[in-house]
Amino acid sequence: MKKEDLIRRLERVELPEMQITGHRQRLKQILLQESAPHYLTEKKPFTSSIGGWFGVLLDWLKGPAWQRALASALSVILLGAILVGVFYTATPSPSVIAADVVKKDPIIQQKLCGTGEIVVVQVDVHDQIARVVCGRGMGDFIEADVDISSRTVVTTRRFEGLFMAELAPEANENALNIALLDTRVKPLLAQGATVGRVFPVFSGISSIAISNNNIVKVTPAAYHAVVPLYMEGKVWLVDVDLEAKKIARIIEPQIMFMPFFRQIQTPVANI
Amino acid sequence: MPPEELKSEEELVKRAQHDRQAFGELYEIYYQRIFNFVLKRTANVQLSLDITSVTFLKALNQIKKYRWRDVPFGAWLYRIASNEVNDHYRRQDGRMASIEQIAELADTADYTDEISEAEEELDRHQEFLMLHRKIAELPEMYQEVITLKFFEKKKIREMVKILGKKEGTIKSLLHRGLEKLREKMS
Repeated sequence: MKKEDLIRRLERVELPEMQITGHRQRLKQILLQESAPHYLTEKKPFTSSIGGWFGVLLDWLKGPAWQRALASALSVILLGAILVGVFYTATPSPSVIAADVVKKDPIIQQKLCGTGEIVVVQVDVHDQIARVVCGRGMGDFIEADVDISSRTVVTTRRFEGLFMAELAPEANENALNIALLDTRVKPLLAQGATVGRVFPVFSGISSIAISNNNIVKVTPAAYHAVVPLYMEGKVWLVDVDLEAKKIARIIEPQIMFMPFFRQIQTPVANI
Repeated sequence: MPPEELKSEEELVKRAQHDRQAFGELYEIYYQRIFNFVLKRTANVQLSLDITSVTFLKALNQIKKYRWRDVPFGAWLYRIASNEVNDHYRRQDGRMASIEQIAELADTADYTDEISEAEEELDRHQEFLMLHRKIAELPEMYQEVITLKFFEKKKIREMVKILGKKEGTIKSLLHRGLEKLREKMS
């Protein structure tokens, strides 16, 4: 094979491009956790230096008396240092303990709507008490105070109200641009359909803002957005994949009877 | 990258050095590129996910020490990812041990279907898989430059920033790498 042919083949080969949304979201959640930097501690230098030390000590133990005495003393110090190190690395951080306590607490599990996994959104630790905000991603949240030393939930408080997550303005605009330019959507708009408020498919929470003991903003980790189109008492739901920048599907007309749809019906654009 | 974008990224990186949410923004910008780059180096979906995870966890751990040198942040991530791929093949230890330590990442139950679909999709790229098998037989320094040049479509000056090597060295590696690959293909 000629080099030119090989280059042409390398340039023209169809390359795999794919995405694993579940992994992307999971990894982001881990990276945004307070405890993330404690992952992946570099162990090689530690173990190799310990191994080196032991090698030196073993050599000394075969040497003259003064070396044996020094080796014994250093062994005790080294052993102590290892035990202290093991103690500190084996003890999780207070925020990790608090998050774990909240997730396992039966009262919180009962109080939160739904049955899915409890998501810890925020942890603040002060003087062995951690204030944890958690929810199930269904729009209701509980704030719990956790005593780190006894690993128990001391108090809980439910945030009043149901919190609608809002898309970031840029994502909102992208979703509208993708949906409204679609050839299947254009005829609906021409027939007089109105566009409702875009809402995220709630796949997780990336952040939460609390002011005066109330939740003021929930930012979802959403990778899909739904653009509702209303016409003649029916709603079409245009599911936009924001990652792939295309419409995932259009859910055929539903009769509007759910209060949820009435709530978000306020038209934002008439085309 | 245009100068204004580079300036804006510099500000984001500086924020990310003390603000986890800003790091999240960098993550959103680069996750897909890093994952697909690793996939083209390894041709293995699960391994690519693991190496992508390690890349970002290491970047998070090291970002406070990161010094801006008017080079896109992505170049640093590519460098970490490439080193991780090389380290993995040197160790040949199956699934990455560091990932097994992180229960949330080791458990892929929530997206097993997505992984299966991606593996099926990868299987459909037989021409790529065949080329990858041959490239994987080359020393890693040639694998890096060939993947970046032909699969990532990087220019030589971008490869200089990613690999931290001189332009002449990269051109020479490419030339020799292609020669060796041609011999293997013949």
